[in-house]
Amino acid sequence: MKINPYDPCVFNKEVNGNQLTVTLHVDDLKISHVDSFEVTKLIRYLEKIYGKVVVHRGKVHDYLGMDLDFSDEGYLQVGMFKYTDNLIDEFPEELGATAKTPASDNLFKVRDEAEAKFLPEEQAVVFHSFTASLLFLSQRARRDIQTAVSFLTTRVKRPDEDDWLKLRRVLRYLKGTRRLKLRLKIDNLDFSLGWLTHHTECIAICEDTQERG
Amino acid sequence: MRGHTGAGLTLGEGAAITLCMKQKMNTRSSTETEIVGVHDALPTILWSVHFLRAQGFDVKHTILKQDNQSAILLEVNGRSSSSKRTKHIEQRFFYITDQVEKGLVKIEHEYTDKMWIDVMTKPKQGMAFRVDRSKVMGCPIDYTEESI
Repeated sequence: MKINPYDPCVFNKEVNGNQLTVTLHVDDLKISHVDSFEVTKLIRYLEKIYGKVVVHRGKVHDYLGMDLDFSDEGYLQVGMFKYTDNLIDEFPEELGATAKTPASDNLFKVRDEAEAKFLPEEQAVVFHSFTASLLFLSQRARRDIQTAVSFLTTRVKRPDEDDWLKLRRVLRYLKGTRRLKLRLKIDNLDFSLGWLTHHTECIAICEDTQERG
Repeated sequence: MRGHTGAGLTLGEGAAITLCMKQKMNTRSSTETEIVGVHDALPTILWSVHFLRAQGFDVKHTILKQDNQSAILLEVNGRSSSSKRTKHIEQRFFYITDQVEKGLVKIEHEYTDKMWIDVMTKPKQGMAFRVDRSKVMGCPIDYTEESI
């Protein structure tokens, strides 16, 4: 087994002219090879050393809270339905109607300290924990809420009532799109990787010092 | 004036890696913001190339698309494209120039309205949001769910 020098949790080995890849996360392994018999061989080998292991085989896997679905040829679909449902159900307030987007145009606007009504400590703790859960979600299956969440993470130290409403807005958006999956396809890996970068300048915090939008 | 960086990697459909972060420093112009942003995203870009190559995939081109022409010129030509508005930019931000010279990354221009990663930098509404979301998530533009 050869370790990928750029990620020590990925192992590769050439077996019968094809690559066997093992990905590792603490004590969870993901093994893949063209020939399923080779995977079985490796599992038997591991069982000899570690005793009985829990094995899940096929095209759909529950891995680290994500549902990885390889069943559509050429596509990888990542869903986190259960996680999303739990978040929506556990939110202490009634969410009401769904929202069409995760954030309103005022996402980056923050009130002056003198005007802002900061959340009581108990609610601030809830805010922090929901933001952290959303961060986990947005880094994996739900990239569409990442902008809103990245703003919320900057506010966890001292959230105000506006931030609470922004958090609620994200959850209301999720409520309307519970079953949205991240769907990835590789066109031709030998050819290219496409990167896009884009930048906007934010409005400075106080209205009176605002120069540019 | 703090900028906000959004970057994304696609291998075909959907964004496999996305970055969305507030910049750590103040900048004077949008060109400088872009250069700082590329600097922020560069470690992930280079890592993804190295990682895939180590996995046995022969990645021939890594194309970085941007919409700011003067930032592209500065990144490709380094200091020689500098003018009095950009000559203050710190040297460390020109690490990208070395990578372009080495051929690891190629920079291309893309029109702003085609930059779907824009959704990582600002809250969008309506159609604009749905179009960008369809590119990031690999879902249909008019994705809706019956109320559950």
